[in-house]
Amino acid sequence: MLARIANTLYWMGRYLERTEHLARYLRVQYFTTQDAPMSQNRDFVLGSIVNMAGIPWEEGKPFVESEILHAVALDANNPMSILSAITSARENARGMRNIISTELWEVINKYYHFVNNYPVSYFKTRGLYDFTLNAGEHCSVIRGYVDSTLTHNDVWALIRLGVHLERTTQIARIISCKLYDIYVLTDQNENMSVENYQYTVLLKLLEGFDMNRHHYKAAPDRQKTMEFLILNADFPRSLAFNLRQIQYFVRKLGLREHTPDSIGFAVGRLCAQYQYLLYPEIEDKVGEFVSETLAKVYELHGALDKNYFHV
Amino acid sequence: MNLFIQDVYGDRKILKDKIVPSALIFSSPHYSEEMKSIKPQNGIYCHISGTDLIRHSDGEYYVLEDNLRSPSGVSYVLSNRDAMKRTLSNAFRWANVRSVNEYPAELLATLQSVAPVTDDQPTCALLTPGTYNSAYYEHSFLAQTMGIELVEGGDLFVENNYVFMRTIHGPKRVDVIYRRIDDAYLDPLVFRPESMLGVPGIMGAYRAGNITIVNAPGTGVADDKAVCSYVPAMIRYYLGEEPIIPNVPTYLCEREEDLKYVLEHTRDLVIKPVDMSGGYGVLVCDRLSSAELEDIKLKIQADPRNYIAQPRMSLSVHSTYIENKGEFEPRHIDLRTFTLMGKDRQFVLPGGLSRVALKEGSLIVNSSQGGGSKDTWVLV
Repeated sequence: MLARIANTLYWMGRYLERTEHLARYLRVQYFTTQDAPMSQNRDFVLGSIVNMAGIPWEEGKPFVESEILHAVALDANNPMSILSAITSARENARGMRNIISTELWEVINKYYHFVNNYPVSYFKTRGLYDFTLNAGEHCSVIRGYVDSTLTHNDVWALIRLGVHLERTTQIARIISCKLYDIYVLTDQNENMSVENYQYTVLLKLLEGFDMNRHHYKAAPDRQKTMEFLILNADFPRSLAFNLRQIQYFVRKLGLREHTPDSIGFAVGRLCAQYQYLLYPEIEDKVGEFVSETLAKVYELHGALDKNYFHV
Repeated sequence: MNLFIQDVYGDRKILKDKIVPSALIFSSPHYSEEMKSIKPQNGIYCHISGTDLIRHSDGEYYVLEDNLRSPSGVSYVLSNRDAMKRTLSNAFRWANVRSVNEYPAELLATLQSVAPVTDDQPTCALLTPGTYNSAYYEHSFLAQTMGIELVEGGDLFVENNYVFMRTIHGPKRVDVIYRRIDDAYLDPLVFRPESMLGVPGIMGAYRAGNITIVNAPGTGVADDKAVCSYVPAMIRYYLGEEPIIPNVPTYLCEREEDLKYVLEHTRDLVIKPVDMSGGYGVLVCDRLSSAELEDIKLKIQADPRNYIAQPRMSLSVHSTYIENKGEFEPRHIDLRTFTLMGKDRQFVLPGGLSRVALKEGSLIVNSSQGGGSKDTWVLV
């Protein structure tokens, strides 16, 4: 596996996964809070989107809905937009069509054309739901083709490594953003039901509401939400689950050295910490804990980049 | 052609016997001084050749030119066939069409046969300038269908005269490189120092016999359009045979009597620069204004070695679907054929790329000039 190609595969996985989270965040945040019991509804939602998608927005400048939605989804000049990410993913795929299946290339290409050809004016007025739902479906189809048309070798492992590493960072970011939203709301003396409603939103943002209910058989609150999204090792959009996936793919790639400065060591250490952690131990510093995890995942990326992709 | 290239970089018998003028060879921009001291594996220089054939109004086939420097287009042969099978499956039922699908396997076997070590699994790689190259689709297609790595210059490095790929598990040795970049960019240490596409030191590894480069550097000396006109003479000289397909008659502006004829009959001729490909610089003179005609005459006189002239061959036409008109119209075509030569193996693709000039009346079929292509059948 060429180092350059390894890097391209890994980033293709990351970009594709990123588009899915951006699209879902837009949709869920926008629609579930339209009838929510809270004050300053609209600005609150837009502020949360700006925060999560990392759009540069001038302090104090009033939020313009159509501008923000456009920036997150279809703005080619915003390197963080869905369009920019899928364009990069497709460029990456194009650069290595010879090692992925034709079928996989075609679904990636299809997704790119769907986003690139989406009418901007329709998107800004009525297309948000349709666009974001379709984006998510395209991502699922692509992941399906990754798993079912590629040999489960290094090519596959690198794409999946990118997917799970990106997913870990997105989950961490989404939890952090939502914790911040909740902090803002409590600061404004909103009542308990408003806060709990935000946990429902957070679970829906990660498509975990139904499974959470199934797991706890009770309405979500802070503990049930955080424990589920951070420590549940079986839920595919939890931090614990994805860290284990990262560990699996690092091993699969044979990057399993045992020196303390190796990537295998760093991943193993992080997974071990998660495996034997109980929620009450992080209860009073959840935000801090999630941020620490995010920083460690960024370090993993740095180590991969330095030791394997740019040799 | 291979015998000729071998000779040019070896004993130079054909030059000493004055069959081909030495001056023509040594003034070719594609002549490589470097290759004088290098003997490629098995004496093979042009593993892959693409010969362009045309059919004139006299009903005869002619060789228009030989392409010995990474001829392109074979991926379109295979893709066109796939598209045809999907859309005209009925036609395939009554015609017994020879398959073209074995080309990638034949190409891979050709590459493996010329590997330097007698390892049963030599590592082959296709060297591309990258995704922005106009032929990238083909590079990627061929690497995919052969199942070999598609590498860029930066993926390779040379150590102790061996060539390696940079992989996530450390360096991996490469034995054969099918390169789709020009000689000049191959090795910045030997050719153009500013080249970012090549691999520093690869020519040293080549000289040491540790890597096979396909096609060999310096093969361009034989597809210089002026040298092409000597191919029938080469066939008689090396093989003692008469050419089966004649060449398009060619006037070398460098020869005094030819130059005189060309300047007197410019309007009836097609003028081509000798060292360009892709249809660039080709002038069909009866379509030129008087001013343009005078201009090209001056250019020829200033640098006669750089130009050849050929009579305007009326390329045969084929019924072609014109998209914006929604109907079929006649358009001029030529046929590119593909030939492989490896150690103890030869292969002629039973098919080819019919190239079509999509512009009405145009004789320039090159895809870089807006030409299209057609699936081409060889019937059993």
